Amino acid sequence: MMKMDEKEIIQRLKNGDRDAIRAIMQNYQHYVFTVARQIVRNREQAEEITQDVFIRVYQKIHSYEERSKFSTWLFSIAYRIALNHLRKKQTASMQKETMYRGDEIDESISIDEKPDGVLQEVLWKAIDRINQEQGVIISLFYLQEFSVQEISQIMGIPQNTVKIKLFRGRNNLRKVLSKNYTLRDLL
Amino acid sequence: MSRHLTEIELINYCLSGNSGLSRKKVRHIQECPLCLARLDEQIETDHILKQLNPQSLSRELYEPVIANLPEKSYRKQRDWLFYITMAALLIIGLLLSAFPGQFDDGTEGDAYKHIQKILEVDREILQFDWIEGLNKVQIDSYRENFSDFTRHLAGNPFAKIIALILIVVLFYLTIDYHYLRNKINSRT
Repeated sequence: MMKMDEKEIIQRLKNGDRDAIRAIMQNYQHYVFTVARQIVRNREQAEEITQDVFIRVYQKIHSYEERSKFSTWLFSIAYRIALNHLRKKQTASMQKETMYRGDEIDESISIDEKPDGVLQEVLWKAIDRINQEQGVIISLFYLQEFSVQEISQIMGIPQNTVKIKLFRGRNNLRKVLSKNYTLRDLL
Repeated sequence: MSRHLTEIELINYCLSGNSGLSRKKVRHIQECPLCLARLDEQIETDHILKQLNPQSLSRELYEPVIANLPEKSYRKQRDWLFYITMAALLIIGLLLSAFPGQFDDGTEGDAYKHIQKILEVDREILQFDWIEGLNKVQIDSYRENFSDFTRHLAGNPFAKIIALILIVVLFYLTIDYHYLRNKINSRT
């Protein structure tokens, strides 16, 4: 997802150009939001986290040494912020109130013509029903096309753990989807 | 028939094809209907997930982010650098003028007097050169005075410390050349 002018934008950020954060946000805000939502399972909180992530990126851009991809660095920040946010919010009582259970899949949704919006809704609702970490790994793997190695770097877990969670995530997702749909219809 | 593939072996096969598996395992996949079915499921789900798009934000985040951006911390660091350099230069000046050295003839004088003496000799040489040409004796005198001045510095521990500080500051400025160049460019 490295854009042609990303290096220039990063340099502008390092020089203190506040407008450069717009360009970074344009490229990444929806992806960061999606991953954050997978972690906290709450839209509003995920939007707050997304905001915090870009503020942190602006503050910490000098610590980015361009040895790894910018997106890997950015998503490491996003993952840490979202996890910290989750830990703060997850007191026993609040957990009951705010834990996202995933909306029921609307069985009336027809995917015969498979308009993209409907397919996305079906997929995201199914992802919301699987294990949180598996959902995060699927988001990182399919949205940003991160490699297993990069995901392991972002989440701070071994590569084999990433692989197993990816494998099980796909299997669980398949089970959730196959309750309501013939999978070939989704292809 | 050999044992079924583990999760790791199956995912490795999905991620990098045959390369991660032994021939025996590859043959097993081709012959074992159970492993083949597990593999097909993974591949099918993979194809479905490749259609995944990010979710959309419900509100615009640019303005709140821009409004909450802090002042850059590095700007303060650069100001620190400027003040440290100025302070170092000031201390050098004070030390050089405060600590007396000694001329070869035994008379004492501070660094300022040493420099003055060098300059006087220098002027004499220039005048002499104009009128009579090069005078070896004067040049020797100039050299002696100059070496006297450097000895004055070399023998002064404070001057050594300050020189060290200056080297560090200059080194930092050199490695931070990129920043300075950008700053100059942005001003122009």
